[in-house]
Amino acid sequence: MSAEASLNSVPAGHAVPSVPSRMGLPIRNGKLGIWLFLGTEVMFFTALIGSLIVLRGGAAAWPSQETMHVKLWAGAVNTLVLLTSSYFVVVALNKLGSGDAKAARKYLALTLLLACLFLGIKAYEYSGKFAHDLLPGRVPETAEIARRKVLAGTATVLLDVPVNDEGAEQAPVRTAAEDLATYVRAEDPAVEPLAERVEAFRKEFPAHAAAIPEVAVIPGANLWLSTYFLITGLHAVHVIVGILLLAIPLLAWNLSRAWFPFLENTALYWHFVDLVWIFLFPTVYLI
Amino acid sequence: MTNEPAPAAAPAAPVSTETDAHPHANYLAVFGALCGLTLVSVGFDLLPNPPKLALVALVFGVATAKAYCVMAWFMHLKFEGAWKYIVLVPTSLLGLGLVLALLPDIAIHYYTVEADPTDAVAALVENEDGPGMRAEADATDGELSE
Repeated sequence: MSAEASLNSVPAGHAVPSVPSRMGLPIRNGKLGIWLFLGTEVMFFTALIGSLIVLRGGAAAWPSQETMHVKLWAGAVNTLVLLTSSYFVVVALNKLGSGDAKAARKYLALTLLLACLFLGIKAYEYSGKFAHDLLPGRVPETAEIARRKVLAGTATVLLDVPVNDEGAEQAPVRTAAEDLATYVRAEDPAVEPLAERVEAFRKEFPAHAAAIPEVAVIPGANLWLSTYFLITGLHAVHVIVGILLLAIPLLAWNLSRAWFPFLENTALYWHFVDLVWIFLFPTVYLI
Repeated sequence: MTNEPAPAAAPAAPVSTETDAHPHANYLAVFGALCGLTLVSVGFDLLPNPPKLALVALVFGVATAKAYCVMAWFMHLKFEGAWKYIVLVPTSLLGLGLVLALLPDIAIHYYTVEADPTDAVAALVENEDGPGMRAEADATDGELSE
């Protein structure tokens, strides 16, 4: 019934009933909500990636990808994985919209698998950083810090290995650690000879290699690592949240078109996670 | 305000077809373009000794093209109304504004950041006329002595 017709139907002398005006934007409330949330996320990640670019521009030194054990193939594969998952989620949405819940569930499952694959590759990359002791605040940026780090490592070994009774022969690793500490204190060695001595120790006593990590002086590495772990870590948290959101309709026993608004909002969130990685990939892996 | 059934509450009745009407595009073609652009950006990185600034411009240009594809087709922004500008333009400007505001002081170094703290402290302690006056007085003395 048109507004004019409804007004005509009101008898003369009677008050015209008030009609609530239609407020807001021509989209669902939930969709508006997710877009407003994504707006805040745009600011959040722009600030993070922008800070990385600004800090890099102002840093006295910035290590190369090779030095920091960044694997280009891992970043490229992860980019393709996220893009494929974005494609699958949009297909799942289409299938659900056309009433094919079974196909939608299949594509949702594929999306979740790819999301887990992304996290697996990310974990592999992180494990490489841990293996090389490339962690924020742990990388020497000068030779003096490298020598102190080796001394701290030898102290750890000496604490770990018990002292034998007086007169008894000490464990070889204790002797080697003491020799290494004496060498560092007495010779004040440069980075290369120190690295050779440490590498020899690590090969001879692999069980204690973790206590004395390989020597690598990398100017700017700690700032690089802080920004790397912060930004990629927060992105990974977003991936985990996306996995949880995608799992809800996937595990729903009554998946139907009634779920379309929920899946559309989740898909928008997932595309945004993909969008962030699109800019993270060149920032971290390519330049 | 629309009355949508909450998905978590296991809605019994399906909503109308109007609710899930949304534009369809050739998503496979968009996906192919995205994969192609990713390979292009990797190819740029594998070029022998590319100029750094050119590489940055190329890979971020490709990233922007990929972001446009995702936003326009996968997120359906190409088919949305003008409300998208209200939500996205201010937030994007604020995000970029922060970066642009920080760039001159931290990244570009358009002035020297080195200062001698000893001189600065001494000037504050010894100068009874206030900071800055000593330097001017010294300069004047120097001119007179010449």
